[in-house]
Amino acid sequence: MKRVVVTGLGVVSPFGTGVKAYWAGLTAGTCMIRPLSLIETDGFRCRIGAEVPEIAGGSRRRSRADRLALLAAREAVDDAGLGKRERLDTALVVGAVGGGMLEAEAWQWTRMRTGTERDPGIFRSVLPYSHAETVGHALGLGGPRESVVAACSSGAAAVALAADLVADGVVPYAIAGGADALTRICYMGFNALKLLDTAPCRPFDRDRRGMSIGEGAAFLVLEDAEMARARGVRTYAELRGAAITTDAYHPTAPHPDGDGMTRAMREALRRARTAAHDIAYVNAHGTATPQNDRIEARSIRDVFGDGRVLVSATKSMIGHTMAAAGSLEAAATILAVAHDLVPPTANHETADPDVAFDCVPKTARDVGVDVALSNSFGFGGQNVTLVFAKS
Amino acid sequence: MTHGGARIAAIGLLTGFGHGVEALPDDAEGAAAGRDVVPIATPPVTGDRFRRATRECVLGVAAVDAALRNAGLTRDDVRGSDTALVYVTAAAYGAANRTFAGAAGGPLHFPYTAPSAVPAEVAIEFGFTGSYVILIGGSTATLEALWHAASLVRRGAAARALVVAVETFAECADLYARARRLLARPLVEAAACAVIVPDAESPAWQPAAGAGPLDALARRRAGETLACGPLVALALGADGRGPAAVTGYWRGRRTGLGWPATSAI
Repeated sequence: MKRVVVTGLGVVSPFGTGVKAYWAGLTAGTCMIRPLSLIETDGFRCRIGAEVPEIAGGSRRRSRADRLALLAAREAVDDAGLGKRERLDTALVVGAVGGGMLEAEAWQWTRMRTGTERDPGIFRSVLPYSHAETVGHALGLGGPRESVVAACSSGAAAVALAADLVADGVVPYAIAGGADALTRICYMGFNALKLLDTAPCRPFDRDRRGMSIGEGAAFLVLEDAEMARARGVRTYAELRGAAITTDAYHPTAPHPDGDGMTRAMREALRRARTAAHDIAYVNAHGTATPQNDRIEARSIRDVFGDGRVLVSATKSMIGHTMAAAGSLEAAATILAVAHDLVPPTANHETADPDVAFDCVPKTARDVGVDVALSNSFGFGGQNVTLVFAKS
Repeated sequence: MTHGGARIAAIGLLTGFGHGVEALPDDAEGAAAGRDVVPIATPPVTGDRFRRATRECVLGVAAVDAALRNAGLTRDDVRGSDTALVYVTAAAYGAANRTFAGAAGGPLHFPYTAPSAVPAEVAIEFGFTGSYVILIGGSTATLEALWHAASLVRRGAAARALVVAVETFAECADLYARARRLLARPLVEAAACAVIVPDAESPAWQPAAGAGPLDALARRRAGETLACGPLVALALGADGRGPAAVTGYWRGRRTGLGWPATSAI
């Protein structure tokens, strides 16, 4: 098995385009959850979310999600310095959920309301694998091309699967991440399930009332460590271990004891040959729903014990970006390792007695982070844990 | 514990033509008799738990049951974290999304708009709690799924892995009619499951300039089954005579995966 390192990062987030904007926003603790403009919110209980403010460039014939994916993937590839020759040996694994649903919804609703149709070309990019096709074609990636759909853990699952391709020697390089645009179906669905807070979400806060939705994309370049050394490129971190488990409990709700979450963390640590006490920071899934946070907090306590590990929730600032969440949070975790700086949990006002760790409220924490862990959990009990370490 | 490789121990197959390769006609196009879509009968299921589950979920469960029967395994044999589940589909979530977007579904149907609803229901039904992978795409995605399943078994991350594929078309037949030039006909609904177990040798990626003989045979006898195609091809090639090579083609890309001689099903 080959060691896998991260040599490139690319992000489009509600803070804007680029890794710099993302890291600056996260470490400042700025909450980007605001009134939505992208979709109609009249009549809905919750009317806020975290939108990407401006998508720089990209053909408007592509779906919004495809454009988010391409921008982030291009930044990652450029950051890693992958030339045309390397790209031919590069795998692409993309986590996706909504695909081009935003545009498909507009088509369907127009059709239903008026009986007329506009631009059937949207069907080219409506399905979730469109992101992989768009990115793979535009960047000339010649290796395996996979689309992973694991609900809210899709982006993290993509990273874990891409790491297997590199570790097993199938390819020396892989681009992995996730992308999602806001969609009405997602907004309506979570509203209908009453899972959205009417105020910006407050992960791990005693008074949390639900999640906020968001959008974005993030990609990592994973590389065989020997190859990275031979190329003489900078490495952000080593992806030391990963694990994916399932709860087999309920189509939506997590296992009440956090069984699958706990097994994902323990298995990832086992594969990383890392002890729990070596973990300085956990980037939590932290959706801010009463149920998720309670169960995740319990699982983290089961794995790490009381009090010592720092835990923060990126979703407090950029909302739940669905398929992108796992890779955006992986990027935050990698940057925390690279900069020895733990991003905070925004909007955290009141400690929850059931949460047995330091949530890094509001202000980033300047501490040594040699090894960190990123959790992502999805509908149907799809649990992914990634372990990153200084390289 | 790591192994040298992995092989396919059994495949369970349901198509619009019936159960198993025995039900496949010699000529799917002729058997379709002009139908664009050959639907699959929804298997009967018992229990209140499936009251909201989509047709796709029930088909996934039935495919796993068929594969376990063919492998001589019981549900108790595969329950727990030693069994990995790898699911793949290109189309088996369109109906759920259309229903929900068209306001015919209530909030409790929202979770079924996700492609991951099928493997979630399969995992719950059989108690699979181990490694879990969901890929979207046509037959190339199935080859990736088979490779990941073999890799999980080879690395000792699972004692066995199930690759499950489900494809349904009937509810969105009018939309597929618009994409006539993109997909072959007839579109044949299918659900399949391959049981991957440890063995001495591993599958390997192979260059594929064109459709291999097994894929051509699968297409001729089963029609267009998208992600189920490679599993149909492997089931048809399960005659024990030698290596089985399958190819996949999906939206401009073709890949090939070869299973060694010891992998006869």
